[in-house]
Amino acid sequence: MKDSQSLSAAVIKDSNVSRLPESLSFQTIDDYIFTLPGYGAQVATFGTMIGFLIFISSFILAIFIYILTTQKKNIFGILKAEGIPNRYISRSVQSQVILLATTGMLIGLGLTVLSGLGFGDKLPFMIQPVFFLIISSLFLICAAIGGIASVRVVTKIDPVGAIG
Amino acid sequence: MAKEKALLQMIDVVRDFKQGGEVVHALKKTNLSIMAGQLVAIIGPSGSGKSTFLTIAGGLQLPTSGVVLIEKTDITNMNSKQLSDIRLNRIGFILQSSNLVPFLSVDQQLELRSRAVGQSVNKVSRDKIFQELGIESLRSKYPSELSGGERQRVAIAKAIYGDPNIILADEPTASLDTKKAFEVVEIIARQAKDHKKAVIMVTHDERLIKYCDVVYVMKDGILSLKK
Repeated sequence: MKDSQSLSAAVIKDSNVSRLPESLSFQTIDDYIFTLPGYGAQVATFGTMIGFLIFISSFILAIFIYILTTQKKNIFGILKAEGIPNRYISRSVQSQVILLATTGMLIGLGLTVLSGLGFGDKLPFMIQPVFFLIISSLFLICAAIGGIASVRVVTKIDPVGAIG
Repeated sequence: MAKEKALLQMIDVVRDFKQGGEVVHALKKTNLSIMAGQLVAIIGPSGSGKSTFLTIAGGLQLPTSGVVLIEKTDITNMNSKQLSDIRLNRIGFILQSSNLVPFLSVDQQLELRSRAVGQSVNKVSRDKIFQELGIESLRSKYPSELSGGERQRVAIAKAIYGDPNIILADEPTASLDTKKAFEVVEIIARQAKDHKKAVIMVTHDERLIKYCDVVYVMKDGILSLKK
């Protein structure tokens, strides 16, 4: 009985310890950290910020690729007037989009890792391969969606517009 | 006999289109045949139907009624892919604003056509064209580095690179001074004379008429021979 008054918490490695007083409840370390004042709220805030940042970036990426391609509408019109097959133009657009997105992504990843090394111990930074992989694929998929949308526009261009 | 060599024929071709619920007769009943070796000019004010005529002659759009024959092939019932093939293989276009891709060098402008059909560059034919048009020294330049006259020469090179029998030129001398304009038209005329192409040139520049074999006037959608 004396133990329950002098011991208010214990950190143990093995949950099968039986000598702890009955009045203490069991919690995993992760669960306990979440009950620290402000910790949960902080994680939720940062998580939401990061999530939205990724979401907005991928959205901008898709729109950027779409605008980049449709800006060249006149050139595509001329090429189509000259009889360059739709299939060739579409394939070029789509492969260039993928090349551009992949290069951008690799540069981004490289800079991220480099800045992580630069921070050293001053800033908590961890490379999470799974997380990086998910974001990278999301960016690639969004770029491809932007590419597909622009290919649709390109194939619909009326070559008549190239004359007059 | 003469009809045998006609590369481009239009029989009773009419083109109407609707604009704000009103039917516009852009091209009224047109009959025309153009032989190999002929340079034909179509002159007329803007809005007279010149562009409509050119887009139908070039297989860019189909007539409302009538028949268009390109090297004896009726294109009137073709789908857009077949028309695209006809344009690629049978027709060379020289457009007003010079149909060059801004981010490709002169060499690459021609290479693009070969690549689009899955071939490698025909170096012999390319070098011959560059030499004939006097543009060998411009090969690695980009359109923005070329003068107006040089740009049109490259556009001509691009148009004849696929060795089409029909060449359509839309205001090829727009924005050129008289000397340069004459140089460009001389090159175009040579395509008809030396290489036996059928060339149609749409222009509002009457100074160029002296180079042409036949001159038509387009007015309100009616095509008639110039007296």
